[in-house]
Amino acid sequence: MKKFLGIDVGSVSTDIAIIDEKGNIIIGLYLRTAGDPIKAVKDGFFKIKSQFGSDLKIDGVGVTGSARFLIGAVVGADVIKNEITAHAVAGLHYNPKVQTIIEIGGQDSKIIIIRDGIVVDFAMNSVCAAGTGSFLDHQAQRLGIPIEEFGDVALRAQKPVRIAGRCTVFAESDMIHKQQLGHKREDILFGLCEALVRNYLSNVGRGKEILPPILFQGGVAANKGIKVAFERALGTEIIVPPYFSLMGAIGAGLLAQEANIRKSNFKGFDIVDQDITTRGFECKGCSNLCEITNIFIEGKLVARLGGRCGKWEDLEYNPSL
Amino acid sequence: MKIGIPRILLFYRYYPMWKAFFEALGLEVIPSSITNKEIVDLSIEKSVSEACIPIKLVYGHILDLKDKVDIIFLPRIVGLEYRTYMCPKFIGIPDMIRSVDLDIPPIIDPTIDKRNSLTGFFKGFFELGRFFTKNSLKILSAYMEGLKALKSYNEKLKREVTPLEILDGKNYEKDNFKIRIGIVGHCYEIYDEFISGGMIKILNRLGVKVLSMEMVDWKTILKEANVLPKKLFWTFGRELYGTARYFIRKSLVDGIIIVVAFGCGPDSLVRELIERDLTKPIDFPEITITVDEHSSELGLITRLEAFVDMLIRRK
Repeated sequence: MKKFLGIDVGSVSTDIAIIDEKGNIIIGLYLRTAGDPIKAVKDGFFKIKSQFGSDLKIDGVGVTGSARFLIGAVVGADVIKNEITAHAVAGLHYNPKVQTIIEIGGQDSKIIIIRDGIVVDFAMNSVCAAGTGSFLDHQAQRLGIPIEEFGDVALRAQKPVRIAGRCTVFAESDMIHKQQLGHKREDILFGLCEALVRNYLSNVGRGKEILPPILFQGGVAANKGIKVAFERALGTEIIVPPYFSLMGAIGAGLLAQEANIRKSNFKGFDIVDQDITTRGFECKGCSNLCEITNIFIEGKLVARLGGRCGKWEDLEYNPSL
Repeated sequence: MKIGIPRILLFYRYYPMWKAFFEALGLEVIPSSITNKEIVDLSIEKSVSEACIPIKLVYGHILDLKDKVDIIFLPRIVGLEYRTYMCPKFIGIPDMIRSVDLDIPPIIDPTIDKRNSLTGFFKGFFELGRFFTKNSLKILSAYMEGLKALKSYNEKLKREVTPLEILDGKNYEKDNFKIRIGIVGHCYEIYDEFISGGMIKILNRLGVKVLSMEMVDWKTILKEANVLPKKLFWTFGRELYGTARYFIRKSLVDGIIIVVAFGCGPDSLVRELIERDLTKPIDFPEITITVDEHSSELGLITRLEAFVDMLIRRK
């Protein structure tokens, strides 16, 4: 049986999934990126290694997420794809009839409109990260509630208060204001859920025809409060797939499978024991002043990222460094 | 005498004309550098924070010219068409620059206004020429030189060559395109590679042939916008609407990308019009890219890649 590895390295979480050729999940890991994507991937590989041993054969690797270029270079990816395509592929695999995918991650939120199994439209949040996972994280922390309990607490609300969801900064000051007036914590939290959903629908979902079946994916789908707020706002059922937080990774794995790779570039799970370092510098070659990152495995330069002109992609190129 | 021209706003539309005009009057023409980090940093430091990114960049480009030239050309373009206006910030930009103490060479800002008279364009150039010579004939012949240069520039553009290839010596891929995308946006957003994040290069790499308004006859574009029940006040808005309609109606492209600067009021409105009238009713693929100060290419690549994937899968 062939096995494919999918990795989704986002701003908040790093998700790893190994799937078989039918798309069934052999192992799925949800890890915190905690500002260090390479370490997060290594931690994940370590867990896989201790469970399956390092002989586990991988027939293809797909990487997605905002650190996809970095991690793709580190692990030796066969396919590097954007999150929208990855999420759409995974959503369609889970439910071939899906017409709408709502995905809310750490820094991004997206809507993907699918008709007859083909992505026909999508949108992402523009310049603003209001209403994404990191904001919820921050607010939960401020109120002293573990993010895992956020949804359950919010669902206890009896009289949700109205919070301005247009902007993170305004939402926060609104929340503080309501809290100082003596509103209950759960009412504020559910009010926040409703505000985020309102903001999502009028910003990301603006002008989109949201038809069922609707899948809710991404880390924020763990939050039952947001799910219920969506159901109330849309008046229809929202399906949270069992592996909602791993959908990006699963999609990346499926894309690797689709690509029909003869021989994978995968560097193996042994990279956990290797010394992987990155060193950045500013290229003074022209006025663009690109920030270039050199990636070293065991002291050997394996990849370079960040150049606009492409000259640094040639690893032999090494003027006076 | 050296005259400096900031490489922003309508530079990519009129530079060949300005250059020919000034050179015919015996001036040496120096354009500012291609937008770089220093220009961006200076712009953000000196400009008003409410302005859109293209207007902010004017500050940096002016400062880039500071020690290189004797005089800076920054026209006050009020109107380019019968009874429509340019963006108010275009009208006010010379004053906005002067109001900040930048310690720069004098700014020369002729008013170019074609709203109410057919000769408004020439009048502006005549006023401009008078700064350098009293000889009216010389100004007239310089103006003719300018028009000639503009005509030949526009003809090159119509062969689907981008302004960047003509003016900045950039080299873009020519063939092997899988799909065609029309970019609906202003030349100062699309062709400033800092603002657009090198959008054209990224799209080319993804196998996309890019078309923009510059490659179509301007009057055709504006005529296209005449279907609106009420004439838009803004020339730029008419351009965006007309471009989108022309590309879609003539089936020139597989999808359109609308580029909007964060904080631009008129464009946010026109974008809505384009969606309601042109793309939504026929389910035509469209994506809006909002541009601002952020310099990470990643978010842009994600959106463009997903859009291109979608177009290819739809085909």
